[in-house]
Amino acid sequence: MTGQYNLLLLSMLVLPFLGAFGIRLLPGRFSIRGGLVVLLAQLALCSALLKPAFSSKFLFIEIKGILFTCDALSIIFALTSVFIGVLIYLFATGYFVKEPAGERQKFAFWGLVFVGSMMGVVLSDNLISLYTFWELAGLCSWRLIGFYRKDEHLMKADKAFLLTVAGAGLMFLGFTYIYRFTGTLSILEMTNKSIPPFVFALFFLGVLTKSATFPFHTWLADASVAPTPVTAFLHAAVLVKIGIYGMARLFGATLFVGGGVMWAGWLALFSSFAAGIVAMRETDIKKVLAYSTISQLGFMIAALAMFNPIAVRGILIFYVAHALGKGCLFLCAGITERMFGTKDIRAMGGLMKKAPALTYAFLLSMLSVIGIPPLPGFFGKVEAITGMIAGRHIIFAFMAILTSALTLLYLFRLFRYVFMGESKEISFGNAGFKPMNASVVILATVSLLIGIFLVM
Amino acid sequence: MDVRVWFLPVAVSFATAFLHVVFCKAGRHFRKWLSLAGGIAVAAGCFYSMYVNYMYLSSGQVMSLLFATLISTISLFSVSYSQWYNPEDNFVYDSLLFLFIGAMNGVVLSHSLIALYVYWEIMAVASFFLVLFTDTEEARRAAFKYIIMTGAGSVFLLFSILGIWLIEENIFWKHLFFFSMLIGTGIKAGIFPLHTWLPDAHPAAPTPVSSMLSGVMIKTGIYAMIRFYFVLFKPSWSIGWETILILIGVITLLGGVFLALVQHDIKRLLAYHSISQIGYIMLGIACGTSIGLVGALYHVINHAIFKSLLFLGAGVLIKATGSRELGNYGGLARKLPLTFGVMTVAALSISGVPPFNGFVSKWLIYQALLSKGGEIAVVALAAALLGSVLTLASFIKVLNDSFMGVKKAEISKQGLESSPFMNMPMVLLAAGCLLFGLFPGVVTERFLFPALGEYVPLNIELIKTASLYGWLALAVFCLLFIFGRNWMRKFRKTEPFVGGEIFTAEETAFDGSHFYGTIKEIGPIKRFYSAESTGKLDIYAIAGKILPGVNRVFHNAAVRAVDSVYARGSVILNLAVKKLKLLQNGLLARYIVWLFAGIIFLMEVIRR
Repeated sequence: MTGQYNLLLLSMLVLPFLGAFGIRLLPGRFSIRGGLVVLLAQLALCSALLKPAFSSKFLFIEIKGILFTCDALSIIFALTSVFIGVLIYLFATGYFVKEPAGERQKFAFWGLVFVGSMMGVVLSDNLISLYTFWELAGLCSWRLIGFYRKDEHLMKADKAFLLTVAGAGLMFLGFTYIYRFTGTLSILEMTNKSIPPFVFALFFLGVLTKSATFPFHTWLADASVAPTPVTAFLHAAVLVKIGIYGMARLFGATLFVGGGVMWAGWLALFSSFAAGIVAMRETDIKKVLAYSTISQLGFMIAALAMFNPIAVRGILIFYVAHALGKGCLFLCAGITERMFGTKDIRAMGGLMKKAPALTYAFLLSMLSVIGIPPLPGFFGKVEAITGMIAGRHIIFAFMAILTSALTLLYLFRLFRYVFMGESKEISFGNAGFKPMNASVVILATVSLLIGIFLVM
Repeated sequence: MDVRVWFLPVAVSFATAFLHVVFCKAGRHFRKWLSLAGGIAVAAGCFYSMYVNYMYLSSGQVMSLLFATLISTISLFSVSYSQWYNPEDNFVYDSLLFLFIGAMNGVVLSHSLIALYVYWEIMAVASFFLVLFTDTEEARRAAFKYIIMTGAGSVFLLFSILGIWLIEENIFWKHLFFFSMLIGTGIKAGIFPLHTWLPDAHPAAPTPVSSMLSGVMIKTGIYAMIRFYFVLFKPSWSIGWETILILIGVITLLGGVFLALVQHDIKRLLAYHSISQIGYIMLGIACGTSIGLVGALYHVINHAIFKSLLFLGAGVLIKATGSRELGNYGGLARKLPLTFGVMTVAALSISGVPPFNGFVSKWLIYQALLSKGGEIAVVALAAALLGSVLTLASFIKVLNDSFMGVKKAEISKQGLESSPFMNMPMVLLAAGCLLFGLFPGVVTERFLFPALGEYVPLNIELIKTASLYGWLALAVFCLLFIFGRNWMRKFRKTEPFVGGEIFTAEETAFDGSHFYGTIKEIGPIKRFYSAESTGKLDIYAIAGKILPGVNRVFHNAAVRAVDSVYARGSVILNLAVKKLKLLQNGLLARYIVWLFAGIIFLMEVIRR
């Protein structure tokens, strides 16, 4: 039985890469649909592994002495990424409807490699292979942010790539120190060992750059020049969540930091707070959402930096909620951008009556990200803050609640500009709204269902 | 007790909300009866729990049920009324209304604080959309303000809920969490500096919704405050806070009533009166004694009754004239006799005139302040009495402007005061005003005392005295009516002497907007009014002014500064790369030199 699961694990690791190269054989018109099929298969694989992973069986494969394992933490991250990937591909079938076949093929290819590198990161047991896939994800993001190859876009892609690579390099240095202090590169073997704070700081720099936290956050806001499915990938499914994963994996229950690292929490919290404030003045819908992501990421990292098991559990729930919610919000932003032909929220308005399905999806996702019960974001935030209070960081907890309440301010502001108010001229001229609407509605409904499941 | 029965009101409300969505195409007639059946079932669920399982409940549960019964009864009336008020067919409205009712019931029935918070937020979102419902510019502004302020309140409430298990550990944290609880519940209840969403949201909402917002929703804040203060923190601990609470009560009371005096929008006026009545309830709570708590709870019930009645009456006026301005009403008593009657009863109740219910609860609160003693309590008592008088003055203005005097608006009697959906709630509520004033002993002993637990007062005579005054007042009214009628007839009616000039009726009439206009000119109060009208008292407006500056600071610090560092860095990097490029000039000789230098260096390293 276990052997069967291990085979599943292997296919989960290689399927996206095989699929990515496989769809190059398809004619360009069908490539996104091909990618969708590959991701659906991948989703089925992940779901099949869900139960054994949660039942604390030891699932592993060994390739050339490098171990890949799968436990509950990995499967949560993998399943969420793949699920959102599926919906992004569904969305992309509508979004790229007017693009030439070559562009669609490129998106389908790099998107699958992106998902594949995420699989690699979450399944790696070895720090070196973790680092490799970490960098591979950075490479994909570079190609995807500068998707249309314009000079200005390439500049922004370079900025994202250079920053994350620099951070990852420092993180790699941190890994060598981890090896020095624990004597192993396998995450399984370093359980319950202790490292000094400066090693944590090196690793933390990698997390900060990847997860776009102050002072390395500006690349994420700049990356909003990319086409919408790509930004959804960056913000919701793959890239920035890698940092959260690394933090949760290494410091959730594995390594201990000898010495106080409260500064890490405060830095992340400041990032969260500042991004929340900045989001309130932006008028570009994707930038508002980008700063919102920065803010939520800061919140997650701040909670993880408490090293409290309750907080880690809360962040896992919030990670899922945020991925679903923010993915949906970005896709909604893509639809509104198509409708109004602009990204400026001041030129939008009155969608509430004209597009009820979109309003429903946007509203539910927004409430989930804000943390309004009974949506899943609330339960995540409450657990995380309970963890902070249990660790007696009272003032910190208060600031965290305040920060998460800023979300309410700027997302309701966004809602007010886009959905309320006077109706503006919109064009439904483009085809492809059907799959786009379907994907956002599915995402919002899944959010709601998870929330109701958590209440029950 | 059985959880399924306990949460019956919540489940039934949510189910009704869901059914409204399912049967959205079923037509107005079907969904009208669905709404009514839902409303009745919710109220019946509460009464069922109240009567069947009464003996087995703890005092906290009785208090929950007390609030739930109040909420579901007032909601039933509002639901019935809105069948008349909103004739257009809209399932979203009905659905939201029941979501709102269910969430309010959930707040008061929850066993755990987290569940309370969950329902609290559902309530906030549902009521946000109800305030937004008319979708005018005013409604959008008010709804946005409401959700922002109530969200800020939720922050403090959540902080307090999550940290409350720490209160035994450290006195500093206890104070911190108490303060946070006070802000969190106070924003919902509308205590004074935090009240500013209330006078905007109440007028903007559809009238049945305003009656629920003002009648029962702000009471959920009071409910949470009472449960926190009396059960978790215990008033015996709060040595410094008692004075602060009394001061908050006094400021809320006087601030609300002074602002109400000069309003000319009827719903806004009623909203300010809600704030003022919350001040009375706060005074009762602040005493921290059993008699104060009884008074506060009694006033919660009474305020729900008369304030929702006032709003429903105002709805009739708005429906009849199409305006919310008091100046546009006038002389409507003959056209709307029922509304005139019930509004008068409600106005007398809110002003605390015996034998109506407002008198009893205010009496209890005065008694609590008297037994409390101390200078601050005496000041509070004086303020409460003054507030009561000013309330009466304000409602004289309302009644005069809308029902007496010159008729200004032509109204058609078509469909007004004929629908039982709208008649029944108003008459029942007016009857409630009288009954709760005449039989306070029954109410307190049957409902309030079981809810108090350790706070049951020993001195029941006070309540009996209040009812005595009530009956006395009723007797005086009756006597006046019987004997006074003949006496009144002896007066001679004549035209007023105007010195030869001929005025039209419009010229001699008082206008609603000028009625108490002169009060704005009185010394210290003048500054208060000018501060209010320029938004200096509105924390939302102040925050709105500060926010752009804060935004700019953070944008400069967190975005522009960081970006300029990166830009500087990339320039330096480019320069460095250019310098390095000089090494690669393509001349073989240069490369050979470097090669040899490298080899020598390596050999030197190896040699050592």
